[in-house]
Amino acid sequence: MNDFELMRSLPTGQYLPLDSPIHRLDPRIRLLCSLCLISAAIFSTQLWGLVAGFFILLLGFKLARVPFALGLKSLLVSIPFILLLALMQIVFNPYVDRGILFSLGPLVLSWTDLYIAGLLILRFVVLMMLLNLTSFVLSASDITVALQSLLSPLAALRIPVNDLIQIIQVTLRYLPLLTQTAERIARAQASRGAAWGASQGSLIQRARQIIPLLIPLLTISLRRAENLALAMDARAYGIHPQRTCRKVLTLKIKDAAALVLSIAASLAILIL
Amino acid sequence: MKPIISIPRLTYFLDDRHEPDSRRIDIESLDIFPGEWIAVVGANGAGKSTFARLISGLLLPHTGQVLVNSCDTRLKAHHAQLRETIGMIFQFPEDQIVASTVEEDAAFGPENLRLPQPEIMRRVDAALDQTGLSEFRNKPPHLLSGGQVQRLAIASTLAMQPRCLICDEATTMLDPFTRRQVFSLFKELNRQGMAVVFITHFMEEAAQASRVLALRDGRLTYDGPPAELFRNETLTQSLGLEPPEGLKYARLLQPLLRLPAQPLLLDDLLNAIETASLPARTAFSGSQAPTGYPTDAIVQVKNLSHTYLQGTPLSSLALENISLTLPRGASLGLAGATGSGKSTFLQHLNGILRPQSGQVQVGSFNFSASKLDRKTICQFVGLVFQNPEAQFFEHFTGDEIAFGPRQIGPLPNGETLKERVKWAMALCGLDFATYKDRPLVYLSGGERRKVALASTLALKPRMLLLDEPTAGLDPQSRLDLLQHFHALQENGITLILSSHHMEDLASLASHMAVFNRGRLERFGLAQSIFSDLPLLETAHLEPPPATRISLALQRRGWDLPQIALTYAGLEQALEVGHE
Repeated sequence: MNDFELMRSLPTGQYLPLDSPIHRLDPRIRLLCSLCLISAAIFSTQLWGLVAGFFILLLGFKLARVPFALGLKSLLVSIPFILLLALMQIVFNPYVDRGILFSLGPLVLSWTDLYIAGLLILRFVVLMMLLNLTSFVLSASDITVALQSLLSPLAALRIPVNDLIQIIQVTLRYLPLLTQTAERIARAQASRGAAWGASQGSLIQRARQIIPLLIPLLTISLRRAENLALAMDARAYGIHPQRTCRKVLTLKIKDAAALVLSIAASLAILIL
Repeated sequence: MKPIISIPRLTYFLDDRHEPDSRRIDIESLDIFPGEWIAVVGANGAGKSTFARLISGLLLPHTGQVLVNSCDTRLKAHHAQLRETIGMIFQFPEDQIVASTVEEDAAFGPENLRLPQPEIMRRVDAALDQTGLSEFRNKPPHLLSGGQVQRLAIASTLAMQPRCLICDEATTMLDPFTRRQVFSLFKELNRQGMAVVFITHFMEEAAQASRVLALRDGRLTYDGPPAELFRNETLTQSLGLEPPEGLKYARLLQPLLRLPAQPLLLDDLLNAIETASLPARTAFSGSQAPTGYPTDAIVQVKNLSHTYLQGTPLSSLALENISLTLPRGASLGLAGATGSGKSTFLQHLNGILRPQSGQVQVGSFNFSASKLDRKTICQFVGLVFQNPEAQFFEHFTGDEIAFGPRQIGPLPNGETLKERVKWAMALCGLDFATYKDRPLVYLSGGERRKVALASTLALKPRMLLLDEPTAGLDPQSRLDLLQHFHALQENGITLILSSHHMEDLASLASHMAVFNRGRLERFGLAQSIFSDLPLLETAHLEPPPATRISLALQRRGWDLPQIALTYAGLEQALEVGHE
């Protein structure tokens, strides 16, 4: 029972510093593999492909040495939304080309409806779990290092890659900071009698609690952003157009193998 | 020798009007040389932070100029060299961390300087090592404790290896032990040739500098050795400062000890007591403090434990099996290193955090109850958070103070909201007419702290929880606030406070709880805890100055009636100051 630990429901910052075959891969490869599999899960129209995706996922958790239950736990939050989406699929699906199971006025339930809804549920489960796995094996700093290296060819097109990376980096840093600020304001207001967390009220009541939080959150965040900008300035950010990097990335054979394997797995998800 | 920073003359306006009566920083001629060790002191709002930003080239003067290595800070072409020369550590450490892991943050500066990769890692390793952060190098900054974040801010600047380091109250949030560690680190860097300019509210630190700059209302009022400043009582007072502990107590003891010189630092005074030939003094009468308390409890905590982020891989144990009973009429001080669990404990005493295991009973409230009536609770116990001005959510002073009473609905006995706000402001020494419509951003640090206090008092609580209430305040504001706390105590309000200032705790608390890494190391009467040196040492604490002096006098054979905890206590025990 804790009314003020917003950090717990935060999706980022869940990186698990483990020592597994996946964690030991080059961060660029980890990012690319995850992107391949995620896009495959998004675009696949094949039931069996998604089922295969689910088993590939299980293997991924095994290799990353992350308990599967941990991934399922963060999936729980989104289950109502997935079910809602599935229900909408059933209600609004216009195609009726197989046996009608049940009809009530304009509402028609057919095998196709069930098939599409099942596909949707499976797709979301695989997708969410893939995202979870990615956050478990790829830290915010890995993502920035990987992006910096992967996007560097774009610099030739005069795209300010370094600034883009810096924006991503600061955003990743800012998410927990925002949560922390919100948590503090909520605590300060509650300790002076605001009805925070006290009511297990309806969605509207809960939304109403959030409003007095938003404006101070905005002003305090702006002030902190200003401080952050000054601190970056003091640490010589932007004095040279190019920065160096503390990490030198070298690709090994296992990295190439991992990439080939995950491309193959992605194709399987798409085609099976 | 050529100065590293040189100001022939400068004016910087703090508002947009640039009129002669505008608030501003005015400096006439200042040179800072390589390898100097300079303290900057002054009241909250005297312009110290702005001054620091001006000399580091982050703010540019409106008229006049700042020269770093003889280069004007206003010219963009000089900025690369400027940033390499001067490193700056800001006041709020949390806001200056740019990256998502400790190591990455330390590498940010060197990466910007385009250093080659092996050199970056060498510097990062050295800086993390110097600040004791090596074991946390892969941790995300938001999971570090307050003290660790502060050390990270220092490490990240050190990794740039500047020739001049400017610290804007970089040790404010640290416990005395860590603060001394960081201070000796700065001293060591200075010994190796780095110029260090540090802004501080700790006069003991300022007294160790070789040169002190004192600011008042944006003007450089004093520039010279610390001894000359602190020996001049009127000047010290008028700058909003106080004498360092050593000098303060040396003045008190002078009639008894006849010391050859009055040392500035407490350690020097203690040494002098050890070695000086003391006149024999034995029979002190003095009175024993009353120790009897009623048996009924106002706070009862049983086997309380708390884990942050419970049930996630990032969980951390903050409190472990805490039990204590505070009798009615007592007051409680919490001491311990940063991250030892004091703040978490305090937040359990007004129901903001609920017991995960164990029991918390405050007055007639049991915080394990499934439903809490926050409106009634906050009228019994109020909490003033650490650094409360960072959480202000209104724009005007009056609205901020009225927030609480507004939440609880109609006030009893037909009292109006205005009357209540006025009453709360008066209790904190804020004049209603003057302050009610002032935007909070225009208040000084001391005033803001008082607004935070008033906004909690506006609910008329019987019990007040204060988390580091004097941290970051200048000496005079701190003494002023302490007086208000004493007045509240006389009005029958129970105080529970945490502080890194042992003397503040000693003067306000009858009981003490010493925390160490989430455990309650000891709970008991303040008198017995402050004279238990081995206990304090395990918890990285040290006794208040008056206690250290009492113990030193005792070792020299003086028979004091009791170990003094405060200045007033020592005054009374030695029967001086009243003749």
